[in-house]
Amino acid sequence: MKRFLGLYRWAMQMKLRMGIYTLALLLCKMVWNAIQGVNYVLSLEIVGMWVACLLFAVVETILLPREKEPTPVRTVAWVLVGNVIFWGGSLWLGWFAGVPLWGGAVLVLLLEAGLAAMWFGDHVAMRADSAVLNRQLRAFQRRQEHAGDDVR
Amino acid sequence: MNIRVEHGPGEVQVILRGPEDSAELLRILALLEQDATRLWVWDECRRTVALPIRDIIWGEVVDDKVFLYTAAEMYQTALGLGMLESRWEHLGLFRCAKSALVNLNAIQALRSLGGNRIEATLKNGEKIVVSRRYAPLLRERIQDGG
Repeated sequence: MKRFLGLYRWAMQMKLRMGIYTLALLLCKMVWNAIQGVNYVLSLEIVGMWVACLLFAVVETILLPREKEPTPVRTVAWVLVGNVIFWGGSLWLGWFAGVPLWGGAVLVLLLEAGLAAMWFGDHVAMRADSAVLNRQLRAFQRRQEHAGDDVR
Repeated sequence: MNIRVEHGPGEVQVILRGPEDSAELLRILALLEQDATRLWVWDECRRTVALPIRDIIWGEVVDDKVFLYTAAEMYQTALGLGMLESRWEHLGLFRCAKSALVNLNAIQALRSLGGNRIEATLKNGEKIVVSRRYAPLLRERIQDGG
């Protein structure tokens, strides 16, 4: 049961990330298609994007596990894998076929900024929030202890 | 249920008689001990025992039954999670999900997760996730309560 719950929790966290990446990638594709005057995205392309994002989300849980501090090596590996998967998928499956140079530059910027934002969210903002939560928890537990002493 | 009141000298005595595994009996015990710091529960051998609230680490509902976990044992109670929380909120019991409850004093660490959820690492090493519905209540509780 414990193992199942652990696996379930891992899957929930992984799927959340996968969903975020898929939505972001799909949005870029929709914008690119709209620029080209195409107002639809092919189902097969969506499936390809979803598989790429699923793969990245799984690799991410291995490279940057939530319970461990992100080392510089792991962080760099995560960025590299992200670039390989998204660039590889884009070139291999032709998600952004025919994109001009400026469009490619924007996509690179978006990818790197997106990865940076995710990293910041996970390892700076969330950690700061966790620190506040733990401080408040300790204060709460101290208050409870004192209240218990008073009753005794 | 039969209720019989007898008047006599001396201190007030309450004698409850009923089957060992009676949920009704357990609920009455809980009612009688309004200010208690312990809860009457069944242990794994279905014996009725008094469990100090401070020993509870967390609890969950499985198949409509409420199980409470301490560092080493598992118990079953006839009270619902909502009732447990409202009765012993002042001792740290907190409803952390639709089917789970945690003792805030048994939490070792909290970790902010995506989707406005919070992961709690308990003193026994287990991890439970405070759902996005209950996470704001937890923040409020540890900020103000005590």
